[in-house]
Amino acid sequence: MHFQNHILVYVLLPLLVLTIGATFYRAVILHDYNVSYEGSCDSVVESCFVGCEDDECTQEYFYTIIKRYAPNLIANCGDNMGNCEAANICPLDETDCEITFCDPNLDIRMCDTI
Amino acid sequence: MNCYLYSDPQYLFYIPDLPDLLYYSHIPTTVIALLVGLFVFLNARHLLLNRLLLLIAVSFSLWTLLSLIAWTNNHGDILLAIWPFFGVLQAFISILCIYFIFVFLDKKDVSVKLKALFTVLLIPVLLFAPTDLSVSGFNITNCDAFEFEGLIYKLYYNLLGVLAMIWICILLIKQYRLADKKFKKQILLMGIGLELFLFMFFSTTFLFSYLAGLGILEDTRYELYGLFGMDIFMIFISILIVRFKTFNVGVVASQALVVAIIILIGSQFTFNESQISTILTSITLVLTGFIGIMLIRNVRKEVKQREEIQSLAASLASANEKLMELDKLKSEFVSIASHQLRAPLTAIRGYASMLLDGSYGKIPVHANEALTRIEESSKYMTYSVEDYLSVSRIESGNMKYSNSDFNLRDKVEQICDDLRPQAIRKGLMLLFRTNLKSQGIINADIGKTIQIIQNLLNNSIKYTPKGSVKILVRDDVVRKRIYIDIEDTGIGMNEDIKNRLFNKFERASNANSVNHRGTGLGLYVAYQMAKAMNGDITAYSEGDGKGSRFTIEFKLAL
Repeated sequence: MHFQNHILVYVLLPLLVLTIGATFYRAVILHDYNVSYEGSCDSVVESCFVGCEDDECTQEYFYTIIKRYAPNLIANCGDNMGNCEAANICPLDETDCEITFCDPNLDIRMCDTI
Repeated sequence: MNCYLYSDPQYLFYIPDLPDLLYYSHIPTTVIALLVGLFVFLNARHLLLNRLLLLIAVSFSLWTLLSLIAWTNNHGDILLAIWPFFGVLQAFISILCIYFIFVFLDKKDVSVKLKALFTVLLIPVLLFAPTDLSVSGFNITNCDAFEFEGLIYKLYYNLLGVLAMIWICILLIKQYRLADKKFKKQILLMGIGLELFLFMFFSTTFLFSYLAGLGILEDTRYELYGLFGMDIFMIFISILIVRFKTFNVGVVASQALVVAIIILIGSQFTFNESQISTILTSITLVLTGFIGIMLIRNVRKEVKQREEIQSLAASLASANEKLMELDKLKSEFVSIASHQLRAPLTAIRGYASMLLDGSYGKIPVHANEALTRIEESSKYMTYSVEDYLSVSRIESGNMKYSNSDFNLRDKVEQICDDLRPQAIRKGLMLLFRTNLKSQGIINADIGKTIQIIQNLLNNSIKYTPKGSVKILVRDDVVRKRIYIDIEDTGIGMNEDIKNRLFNKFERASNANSVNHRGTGLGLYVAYQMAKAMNGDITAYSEGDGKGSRFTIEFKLAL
């Protein structure tokens, strides 16, 4: 009867502790997640997304959207990929890497087409 | 993995580029929620309702803390570690709100079945939190995980929020119909506060983050407004604490709470940097100040009223005690005095009677009239003394009743025969009739039953100057009752005296013109005796001078 009356505590509390542990282990230790970021794009040869450097959009920049499995990116660039050239390309042996170019028919964002 | 475009926060959570609204919506709201939750809990920690309110406040505070970390942190790992817990905490808040309302309405814990249902509803949120179903990655450029949120998982915990809103609404409406006026107000306040909080919190967090995930909305700051729902809820909770003593929080403590909230909101001015924040802080402060003043006024009024009531109650208790003592003394005095009067009266009556019947020789004719007066007066005085003694016994609870079965019809006929000469002397016609389907047997004290009938019949004869007195004994075997109707053509009575007739020392205003000897106790004694023997006496008259009908009622012993 005591267990039934405190079922919320007895079931959910251990489960919550396990969830916290598993989530922390997955994110911080294993880095088992995907990342997406803006990769460099040459608007002369590629169809790029157009972004603005400031709110008034006085200066534009071009980019692609890259999705990768985080451990692969960490292996190439470490924790900070700010100046990592390897982050802009998908290695041939990396199956989970995907580069998306701007498609004016599908994408609602502005494209700089060839 | 770091969001390389963003700098590290200062003082844990501060980034100058972020909107002021972020801090304004998170910090005071969290502090207010925690303050009220802790305050209520510490005042009566044994109450389940108070514990649940604290749990809601803590869950909400954890949510805002995680939200603040997500807004200001640039470490992807930390972002991914905390992101699933938005869903977990929102699911917990939904279920806790339902649980809270159940306890608020029923004033007791919920059933084991309902607890099991709550557990079952929460298990999927916890089980799938560390998986891709919850969140599978994050966007390094924006430093958020909206686009990687699992739609089914997100829908599930948001649907729990919708379920909570609907369930709570149904429970409140159902209980509102049955509640008394005071509880209706509490239900209304609690319902508005809680529903507003849930609606603002869930609609903004789901809608705006969903649109941001789709890329439709780039600015996610609109969800910040949803957090003010908690402030509204806490204001309603404060009103419930002060006005209705919900959560068993003391009145003085309630004032302290209002003051603390005002100080807390006022302290926002110290770190407001933009005009919008200052305006928002000012509006909140004015609103809270206004409500606070209103509440404190109510509290003061209530305290004053309570003090007056307490003082009046104390005076009444003291007066009541004195009255009871005086009443006891009066009864004792009447009892002693009546006993001491009865003995000499018996002697006076006895000797006067003996003198009149010639036991002491022949009495001169002129002395005969004086002796007759002595005998008559002492007889009436004896009756009066008997009445006083009866009242004294009734009030002290010492009146003894020895019940036995006897034939009431025969007794009534016998009394009629005894009193007929008295009626004839007054020129009245005394008629006795019966309409019985039973034998007319009752179980009561014979002596006291005779005393009641004699008293009423005597009264009818006394207060009827001319005409007749009719006695009818009838019964109702279905209801097992027997009735004696004594109907006369006497002085009658008006409505006013009819209502006071069976009170002590009450006499009809026109009674003195016919008989000045009455004490006003006879009917009181008869009524009390009849009641004590499961009977009753009722009086009926069409008005002054239109005669009366008294009905004595007893239970038939079938």
